[in-house]
Amino acid sequence: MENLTNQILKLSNNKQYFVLRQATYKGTTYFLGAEVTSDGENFTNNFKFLECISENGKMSVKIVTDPDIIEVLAKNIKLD
Amino acid sequence: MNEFLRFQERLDEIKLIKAGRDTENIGVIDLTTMRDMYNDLLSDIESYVSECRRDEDSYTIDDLLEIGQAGLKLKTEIKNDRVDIITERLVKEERIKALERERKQLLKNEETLSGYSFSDSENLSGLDKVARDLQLNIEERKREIEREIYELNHGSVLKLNVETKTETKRGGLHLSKEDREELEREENSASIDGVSFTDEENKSSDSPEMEEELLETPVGLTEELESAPGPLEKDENLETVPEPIKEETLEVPMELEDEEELEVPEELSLEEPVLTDEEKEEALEVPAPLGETPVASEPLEEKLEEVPDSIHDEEDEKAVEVTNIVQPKPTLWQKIGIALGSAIAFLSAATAVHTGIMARSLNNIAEVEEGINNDEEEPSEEEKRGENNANIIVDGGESNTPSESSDKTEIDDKMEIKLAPGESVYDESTGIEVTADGSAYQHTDNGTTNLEARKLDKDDKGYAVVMGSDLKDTTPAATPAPAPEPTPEPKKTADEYIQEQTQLGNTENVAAAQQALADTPDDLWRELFGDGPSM
Repeated sequence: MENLTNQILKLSNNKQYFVLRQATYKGTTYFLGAEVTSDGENFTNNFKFLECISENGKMSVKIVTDPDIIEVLAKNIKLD
Repeated sequence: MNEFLRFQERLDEIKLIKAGRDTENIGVIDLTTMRDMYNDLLSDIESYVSECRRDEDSYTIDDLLEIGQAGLKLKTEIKNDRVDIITERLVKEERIKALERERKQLLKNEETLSGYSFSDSENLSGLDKVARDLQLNIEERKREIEREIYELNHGSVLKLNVETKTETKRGGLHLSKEDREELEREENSASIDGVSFTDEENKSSDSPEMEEELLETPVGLTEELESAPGPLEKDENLETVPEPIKEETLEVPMELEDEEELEVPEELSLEEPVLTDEEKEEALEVPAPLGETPVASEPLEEKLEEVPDSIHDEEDEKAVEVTNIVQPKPTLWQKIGIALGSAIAFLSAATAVHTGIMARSLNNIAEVEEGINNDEEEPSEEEKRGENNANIIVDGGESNTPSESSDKTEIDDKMEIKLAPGESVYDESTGIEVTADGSAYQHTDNGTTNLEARKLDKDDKGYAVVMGSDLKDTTPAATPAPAPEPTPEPKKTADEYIQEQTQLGNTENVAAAQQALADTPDDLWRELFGDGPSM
């Protein structure tokens, strides 16, 4: 899994997330993503933890809703 | 049943107006008015059906059944036809929100520049001139924003249509969960309640059976709404380029709600808004509906009204394909600092949350209020533990792959790390991860393998205690065998050395050794030259 920090993930639902941080936890890759406006010019102030899923060479992401994982990620991802 | 013919006529009339609104053949009707027309009709149908049901003497059961079926059919048709109105209104609300955000930012910028005063605008220095220009630009943009917000709130639908098309062209609406919930609330209030029919094949959605069916088969309603279904796709055949708004178009009287009966400010002249060529092109590519009844396989809106919130959770939990990975635009980099600040606030808020339920809610909150600051709070036990776990996982930077990380962290053997259930600790230097239940994993470039489970003690609060040694690989196979120590050759005696050097033909060594032998005791020789000097 390559490092996607500081790159933009364009999703099939037309959302775009700027990858602020990338992390692995229990063998799974997660991103802290900052949503970007559709024109790519601004941040929306909308942040999500995204779980990276790779299947058949295709990459997908899923919004993390597991509270335990969110807690662990929030505690351990450092931005400063 | 004649009443239903009249209802049908009213609906056809609304459809015509809707078509005219979109193609400008008729006047401009704003979204609220359009929605109210649909809702009024729904309400009238509901009242009529209820009235019939109360008047038992005048109707047989068969009559009531027939009335119920007719009412349901119309209701379904109305709701289907109303979907794109709602969609458009959501786009408008999104746009207003974006404008409000921009205005807020402008106000901040304006405050920053408030220290400047320019009495002599002709003789300004370079920096002052820039500041003055900035102030003027801010003022101008603020006026534009206020004007657009006013237009969005009080009519001028055409420009809105263009934006609807633009958004659709980009692939759908970007609606937050809050928007959708608000829509649901509002639309629920306008739905037909209390209408129920006994016919098995034509049950109202209010019947328990139908509700149950909807609950069992949630089909990503909000996603369908986001991608602007049915009606908008049909408009690809539209070739008419919408013309700029004309004065007479705006003069068509509209029924305004009380709160909308405001005086139009002078600066909002009737010449606005005027479509640019670019806007026209966008409108052409993804045009507005032609007024045909949207062909929806199912009444989406009805489902939207009645499906519980859990549907949104399912949408959130759905994997979305990454279609492309791109580099951010340079302009975005200029704003990264602000985004990081907000992200830190987001993480702080998430970290401060003590229950998992709230943590989950946090990830669902779309916007994180700026300025969240938990620094003054006494750190909780969990926060303290969190600090201990600061190196649990690789946090971006160079790489997520442990073995490639440039920021490796050695965890001391004596270090204790406490884990709550579900947590784990990861030592970047060894690539070993240990979970609270004792499971251990080895992460390498080639993947993850299981290691022998660790036996973890628990502290008085139930936290699993991981020692630094637990993060070292204890698997025998994985531990490299120590290199065998070289077996020391037995030391040679002086005579043996001389004999060896003689055989080798090193006459100089032989002479030197003989000389040294003559001068040095035997044991001192061994001490000095050991197993063979290289003299």
